[in-house]
Amino acid sequence: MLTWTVLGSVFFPLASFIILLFWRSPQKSDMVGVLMQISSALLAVAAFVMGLQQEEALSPYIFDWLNVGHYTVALGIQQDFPALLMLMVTAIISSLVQVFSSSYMKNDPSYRRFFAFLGLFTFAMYGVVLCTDLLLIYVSWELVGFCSYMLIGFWREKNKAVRAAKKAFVVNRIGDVGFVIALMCLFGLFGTTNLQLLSGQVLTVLANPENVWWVGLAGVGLMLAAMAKSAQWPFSVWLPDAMEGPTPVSALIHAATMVAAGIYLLARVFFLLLPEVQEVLAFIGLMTAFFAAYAALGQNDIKKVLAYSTISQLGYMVIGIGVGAIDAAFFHLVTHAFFKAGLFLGAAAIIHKLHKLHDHSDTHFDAQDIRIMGGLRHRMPVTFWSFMVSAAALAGIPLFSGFLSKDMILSASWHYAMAEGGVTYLLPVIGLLTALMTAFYTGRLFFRIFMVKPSELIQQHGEVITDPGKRMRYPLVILAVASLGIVFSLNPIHGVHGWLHHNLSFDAFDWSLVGVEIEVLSIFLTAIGLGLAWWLYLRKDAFGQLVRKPSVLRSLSTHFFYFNELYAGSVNTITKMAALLNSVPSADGIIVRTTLWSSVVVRRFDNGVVDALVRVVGVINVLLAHLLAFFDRYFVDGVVKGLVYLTGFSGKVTKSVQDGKVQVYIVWSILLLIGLLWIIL
Amino acid sequence: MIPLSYFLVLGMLLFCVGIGIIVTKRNVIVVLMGIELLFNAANINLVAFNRLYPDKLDGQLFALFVIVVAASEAVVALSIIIQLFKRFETIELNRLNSLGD
Repeated sequence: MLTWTVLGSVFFPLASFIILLFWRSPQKSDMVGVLMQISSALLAVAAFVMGLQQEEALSPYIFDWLNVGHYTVALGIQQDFPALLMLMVTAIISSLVQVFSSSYMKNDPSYRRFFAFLGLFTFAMYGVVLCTDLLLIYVSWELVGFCSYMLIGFWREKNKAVRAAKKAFVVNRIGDVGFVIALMCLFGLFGTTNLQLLSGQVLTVLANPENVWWVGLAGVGLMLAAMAKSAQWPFSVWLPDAMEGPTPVSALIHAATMVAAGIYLLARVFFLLLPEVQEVLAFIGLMTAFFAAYAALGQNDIKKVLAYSTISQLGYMVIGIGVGAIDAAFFHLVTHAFFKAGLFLGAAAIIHKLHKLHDHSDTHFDAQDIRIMGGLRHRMPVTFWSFMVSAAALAGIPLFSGFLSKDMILSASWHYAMAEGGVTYLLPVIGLLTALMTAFYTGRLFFRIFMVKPSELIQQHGEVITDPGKRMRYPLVILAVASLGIVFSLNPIHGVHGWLHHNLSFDAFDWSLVGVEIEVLSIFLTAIGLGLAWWLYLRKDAFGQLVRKPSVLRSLSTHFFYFNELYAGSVNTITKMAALLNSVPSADGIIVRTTLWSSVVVRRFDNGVVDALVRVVGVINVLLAHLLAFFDRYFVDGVVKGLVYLTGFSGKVTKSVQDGKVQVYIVWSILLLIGLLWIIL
Repeated sequence: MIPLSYFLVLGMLLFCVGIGIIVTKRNVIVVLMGIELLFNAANINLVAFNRLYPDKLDGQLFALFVIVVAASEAVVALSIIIQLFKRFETIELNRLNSLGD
């Protein structure tokens, strides 16, 4: 029953994709997509509830999909709590995004294509979440990458969007190489890629010290794949560029489908990650969280701020996995999915209205620039409230969901550092610093959009800016409600005892030792960050002054530490070096010229001397041949013919002695007799 | 009294005629007749020499003997000829040849 519910939930997005592929008109295609996705979400919720009541997880096996020798890829459905939870989160967010898009994307000429790919995107993510075999997860993984490519580059006529899509695709491909390497290592070691079998055999395989290296390599490969998909440093550069896609797509990518896949994969294959790999992972997460949070401080594009905040939050999740608190990372993944989707959809609503303003007024401005916003609180109250709740969750204010999960990760990292000592103390320290920055940039974004004095433009044409329609409003409200802490845990300080964490079945981390010290510290730092933002941007309205002062730190933030330029620069350098190397040996030219010249000389020599010689030799040869032929015909042949004649003649003569003619015999006898008599007498 | 040499010359001539017939004629029966001539040439010699030494009569006896043998030989030869004809359907000597070309 549960299996069928899950399968039904998976079926709907795929069906919507297929139907929309053949759908004639762009009209009503939103109806198909939205209805299908909502059905899928309802089934997913049903499956989740059923899964909760279930005592033990069902066997995920369905049937053998692929048999090669003794290698089998079974098409199985994960039915444990994390998978069902992730399925539900993906389904709900995807359906909210689709409802939202049906209004947001109205009048877009490629309306139908948009919903078709949203369906496929969701389906692919379901595949990553539910498949039990790493090979099938990999297939879905690639499908997720492809859909993200199609959706980021959805506005094909926009050159920037196409480039961003290509960038996302190429960066992801680097990580996919890691995935393939990991698959090959695992297959070589275990002879299977089934997750259940792998987790059952990993201890026996690791008992042999020769295998440790290979398991480590597999872990690194999977880590690479997850890093690229979840935009970890140094692969983070694609995610900010992915903002070129439609904003609802960004919401989907950032919350439920794309970047979540990396974290989910890491949580799934956690048993394959050696302690060393985990430590590397924790530090990569830390760098990502810190760099991205720092970059978010200096952005003026509303979507860019949110993009960097996503990278930063993903960094937190990776820290969580690195320090062994997979349940905390997973918890953060879920809470983040809701509040980040809420933030993005809120941003989409604002951008939508500003576009209207742009069309309404004669002036030209960037609809995503937070510097022209301000004072939207009274004009868009619903957006304001929902955005506020989601932003509070992002900033980590108590009572909101982000606080619970993020501080679980921070506490876990603190305990990890206490256990490991040394350089690992950086994890909680910088993690907390990042929390402060998170609070600061969230506050900056929020105050800048809603609280500060509206710009003149908005004051003049403000009547255009209102709350969006129902189809955009309801998803915002639902996501805001899901960002409240009480949804996940009744305890406002700790997420550990909440129902969600209680059911997460990863037991890699011992939470019994965790106290409240980190939470208190975190609340304190968040308050400082928010206060700083309030003081700088609201109280003093220092926004304009700060912008005017250029500084190294500021440009580092605005340009995300110049990672993009670094990569582009290194690629350029390599290309230039190649070009240089190509041009340096003009010896090439000389060689070519020498060859040409010498070939001319050789050709002349050939024509003049060699050919004449050849001709003379030829004539002599012909003469000689005639002579020889004459000699042959008359002398050699004559001798041979004479011999033949002689032999034939003597043969004829001697043959007649006994050729069967009786009378000849008699003649011979008489002659012989006469001869004998002659001799005798 | 006719001298002996006359008889010897006659026998020689007869012998030569017989040889000639044997060598030149194609029909086996004619060849057989040639052979008879040879016998008779020999008989003439025998009888002639018997006249030179008449007291013994062994020459005449030998001649009679030769006549008998010749008769039996003719029988054998004729039967052979019949067999030959049965087998080859001819008695031409130049065609009675299964050897060579």
